[in-house]
Amino acid sequence: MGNRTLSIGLILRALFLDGDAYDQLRDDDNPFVEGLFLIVIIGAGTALLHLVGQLLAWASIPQISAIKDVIWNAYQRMPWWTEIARIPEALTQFQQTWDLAWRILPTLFGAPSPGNAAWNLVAWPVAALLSWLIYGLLAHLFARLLGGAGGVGQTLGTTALAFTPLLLRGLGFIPFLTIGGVLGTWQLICRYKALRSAHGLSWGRTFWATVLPFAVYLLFWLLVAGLGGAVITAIVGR
Amino acid sequence: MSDWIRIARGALTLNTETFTAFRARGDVFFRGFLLIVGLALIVGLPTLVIDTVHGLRGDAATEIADATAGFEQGLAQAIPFMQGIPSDVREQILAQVRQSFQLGAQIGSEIAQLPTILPRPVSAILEAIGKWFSTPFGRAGFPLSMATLGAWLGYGIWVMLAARLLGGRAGLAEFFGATSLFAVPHLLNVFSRAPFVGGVIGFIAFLWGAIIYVKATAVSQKLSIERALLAVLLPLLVAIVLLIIAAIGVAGIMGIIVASR
Repeated sequence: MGNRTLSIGLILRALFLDGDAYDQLRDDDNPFVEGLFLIVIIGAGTALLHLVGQLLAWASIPQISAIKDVIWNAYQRMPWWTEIARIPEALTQFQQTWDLAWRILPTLFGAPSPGNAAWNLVAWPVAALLSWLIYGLLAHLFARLLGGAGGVGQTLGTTALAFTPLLLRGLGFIPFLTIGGVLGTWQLICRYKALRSAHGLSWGRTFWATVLPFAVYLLFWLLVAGLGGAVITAIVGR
Repeated sequence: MSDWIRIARGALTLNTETFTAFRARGDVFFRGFLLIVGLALIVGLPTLVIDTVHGLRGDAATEIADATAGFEQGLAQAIPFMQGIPSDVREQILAQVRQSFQLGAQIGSEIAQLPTILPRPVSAILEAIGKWFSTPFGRAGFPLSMATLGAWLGYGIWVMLAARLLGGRAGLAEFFGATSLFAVPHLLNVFSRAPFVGGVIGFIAFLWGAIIYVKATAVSQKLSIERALLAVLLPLLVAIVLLIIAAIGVAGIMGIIVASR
């Protein structure tokens, strides 16, 4: 292995769509290793910063269990409560649904959870690695089918730079920050830049090489849903 | 700073040279990003101040009283639309809605009194700051109606595609950088909380921003204004057509289900 191409400057230039940054990584002697390093650093680094924000947010709000108790007690003061309380089965059913909802909903609505955030220290780098490899390989396949000239290492190296928008997740050290879906769009734009640099295709062909992997994802999930539906139908039909 | 003021003035007056010079900069995307983030944070400043003051006061009773007054006002406005409902049923509905609101208010008040690890004022400030920093990342309900990264990139990606199909020649950085100038009139949204005129100001900012967006698309893509306008409108038109088709499809399926019963 030769020189290290990756630098903070190069990462920032890739984030802000500087084509030279992608070309520089493409021309590295081992773009795959550079990409691998970048993906792990982004995943772990942003997860660590996010953990700080989650801890601060968690310390800023009352305990979820205390909030749950307040609402439960308030329900007991409602006129309809006596109707439910009169039937033990209905009360048990209500309580079960209530407990289940409180296990799922707080996380779903973004309640701060240091436990989940700590788990992200492992989950985010692993998810980023899988996403990088699966997308990179599919995009490479489509780019080659469309006449692209890049090697697989070059595709993976440059598409790793398309993960730089996820650096903004590092702003998660600010408690209560919500970033939303903009990073996905930004990442898509960077992926286009990466594939254009790695394969030197026309804009139209690069566009198709960028979006066709998502068509594969869609087909895959439709297949999974169809199979799942068939299995459930078979079980219910017995 | 004077450079930014010159760019903002040029964008607001649709000065072609400003757009051309901005597009030609090597760091045009970065500058666009800074512009959107900076403007969104400035526009969010009044909300930050109000939220911080509310949080520091920590006066849950006043907040609940304000919310109750707003709720009663909303309910009073809704009553004329309920004239078709028999009066006894209407009263019953209103009583239930009031009871649910009162329960919600009571729960809110009790939760506000629960202990937190960090002192309440610190929590309130952190929450206000988090909300403020989230402003640039928000998405617009309608294309280009807000100066946020979501509106800029989310709609822009489709406009870029349409412009390319119509013969545009801009690179991604040039196009996104130039179109970021649409955010400049949205600075007016600092006054969006002003009573009576807030909505009008927002609408003026949107229209002005949309005109700048068309101009930026034309200059960056080297298209005529007519083609640029088409490129900007095309994604919206396609979305509307798709929505209509989907609505007709759903209505058709429901019709078949109802008819088969």
